[in-house]
Order: sequence, then C-alpha cells, then structure tokens
Amino acid sequence: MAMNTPRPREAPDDQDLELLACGRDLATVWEQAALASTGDPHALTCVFCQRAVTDLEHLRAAALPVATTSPADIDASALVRRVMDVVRLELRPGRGQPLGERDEDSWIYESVAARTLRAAAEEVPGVRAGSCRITPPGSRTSPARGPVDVHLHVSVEYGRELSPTTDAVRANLDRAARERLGLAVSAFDVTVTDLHDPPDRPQEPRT
Amino acid sequence: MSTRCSPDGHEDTTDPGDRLLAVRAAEGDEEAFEMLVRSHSRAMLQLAERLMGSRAEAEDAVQDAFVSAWRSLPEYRGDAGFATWLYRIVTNRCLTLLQSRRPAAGLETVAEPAAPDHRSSPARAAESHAAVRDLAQAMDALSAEQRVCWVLREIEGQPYEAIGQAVGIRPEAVRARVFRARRVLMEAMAAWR
Repeated sequence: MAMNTPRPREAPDDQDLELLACGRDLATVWEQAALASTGDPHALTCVFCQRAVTDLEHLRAAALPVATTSPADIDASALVRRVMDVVRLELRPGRGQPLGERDEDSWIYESVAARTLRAAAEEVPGVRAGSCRITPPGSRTSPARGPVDVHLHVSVEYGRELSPTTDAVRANLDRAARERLGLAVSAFDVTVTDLHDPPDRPQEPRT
Repeated sequence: MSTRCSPDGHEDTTDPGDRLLAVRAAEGDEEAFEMLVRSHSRAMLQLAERLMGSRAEAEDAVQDAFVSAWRSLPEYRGDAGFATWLYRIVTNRCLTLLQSRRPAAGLETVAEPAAPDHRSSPARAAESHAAVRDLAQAMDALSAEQRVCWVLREIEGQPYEAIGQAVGIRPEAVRARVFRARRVLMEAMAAWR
C-alpha cells in the first residue's frame, strides 16, 4: 500500500481522540498498523491494540469484494462514444491558415493542417509527433496571407540518429505541405522534445 | 501511431505517449483525445464506481469529467501526469455529485447508521455477503468527503498527500476524515464482527 514517510500526528481534535483500554490512541494504532513494521513491542503483544487492528482488517475485507471488478471487465465503449459525441460539438479548430496564392481566399484550420503534418512526420520510422503550431506572417492579432512557419515537436525512438531523423521529418513536412495541403511554408522548425522506447520492447511491470 | 496504455492508468504519471497525446489534444486534435479517453475510461469508471457506489452514477461522473478535461486541456501544463490530472477531475466530479446527493449531512450531523439486522449465526459465505450489503448501507451514512477520503485510502490505496490534492484539503484533514469514516463503518458493522 502506498504510504509516505509517517509524520507525527497533528494534534487531533476531541472527536478524533479515542483511547483503547491499554491507553493507546486508536488513530495512532491504526496508522502504525499500516506501516510494514513498527518496531513497537507493545503493539505486537497488546490484546486491545491487536483487536483494533483486526477490526480494521475485517472492515477492509468487507470493502474489497465490492471493489473487485477488474478494469479489463468493464465495457467502456458506450461511454467513449458519448464523450466523443459531446467533444465533436465543441471542437477547437484553431486559427484559419492561408491556402494557395496571395490573391486567393482559401483557408484551412490550424488543427486540420496540423493533423496532416503530424501524420507526415510520423511516417519517418521512430518518430512520434506532439505539438504542431502554424504561425502566419503578420502580427498575432491581424495575421496576413503569405507563407507560414511550422513548429513541430517530436519524440524520437532511442538509438536513432537525431540529425538524419529530423532531416527526414523536415523533408516529409515539406512534401505534405506542398502536395497534400497546398500550404506555402517559409520555415519548418523541428524540435526533439523527448526520446522514447521502441514499441516492441516489453513493458516493465508497474508496481 | 502507437500508443501505450497501462492497465491501471492512474498509477502511471509519466507515460510519454500520454504526454504527446495530451499536447495534441490541447491543440484541438480530437483524435488524440479519443485515444486518451479509450485508454483511461476503464480505470476512471472503476474509480468512480467505487466512489459513487453505483455504475450508472459512475458513468455520468466520468462522462462529465472527460468533457471537462477536454475543455480544460488548453490550460493543462503537464506538471502532473495526464492520468493523475484526470484522476483528480473524476474525484472532484464524484465529490460534487455526492455532496448534492446529501445536502444536509455535514460532518458533525451524520446520523447513527441503523444497526444491521442479524439474528442468526450465518455461515461464513453468507456472513461476508451480508457484510458487503451492510457496508454499502453504512457508507451512505458518511459525509461526501468522508466517503471519498475513505475509498481513496482503503480501496484505492492512495497516500494521504495525494488524496488531499485530489479532494482539495490538507493531508491532516484527510487523516481525520478517514479515521471518522472507519469509526462510523465499524460501528455499523459491529453486529457481524
């Protein structure tokens, strides 16, 4: 059971003070029992302390059958559907980004363009894409039409050379922006923000 | 893309896959958010069912929590792992629902739970079955905060500090809630003890 370093109990108010027949405070006896070993000879031999601890164990034993449904046995598909139905009514598409030539009036939402660019980056082996920001020329408040800057964060698998990997990501982004989106880009800024394990490596058991 | 899920999501505070997905979801990528919902919904349902004591209420609480997570994601800074952050949102939602369920039951005014009715000396299996029923009944006598603190401590095995953060009270106050909850439940179950 997770338990941080025990601290001396704060002064309890009157309601919390219940002394056992042996003179020990019930709250303290229960707290000590939660620790692996107390080194307290009284707690190991005192019939009153032992009974208090046994009572607490009975209570836990009664609570656990209620709580034994394993997460694997829970069917969450209906819940996922309902959540996503609400989410799709509240999309956050981001800013509109200029598409095509300067005299055209075509736009694409930042989140839609970002999806395509992330997917292109992840076609490079060992790459996972994170944040993808697209900044149009001009100020934040009045963006202008013209080539945009793309800032992409990636995580790269351990053991891969970073420089060739980010070069390959940049090449994929460039191709996707031109061929799939028709988005004019002035700079691709690719930052490696994390390294991750290869996916086929067995996960260490968690405690 | 490959996403790694831990079977017990809330214990995993630093999953790098989660971190990337959360950043993407914060930027409006609803497909990334759907992957997060899929990988955490079971663990969150389990938590909520333990807190609420009913599957239907747990589903409502978790649905509200996920929607509120989607709305708050742009402000999520990733200081806590996504699972930990979500765990707090679900706990808070359940606490609010429990508080609205019993508006008058303050900490000091909790009614003495009805003594369970056991006249015979039942077999061990029946005894434990009755104990479970009695416990569920007795838990309804707890205040919302007592109930949440007790479940997080005794069933979820959370440390007092983490419970305090999830519930929004000091660890010492969590300690006091857990202690009083144990006393109330134990008295209610004295008949079969």
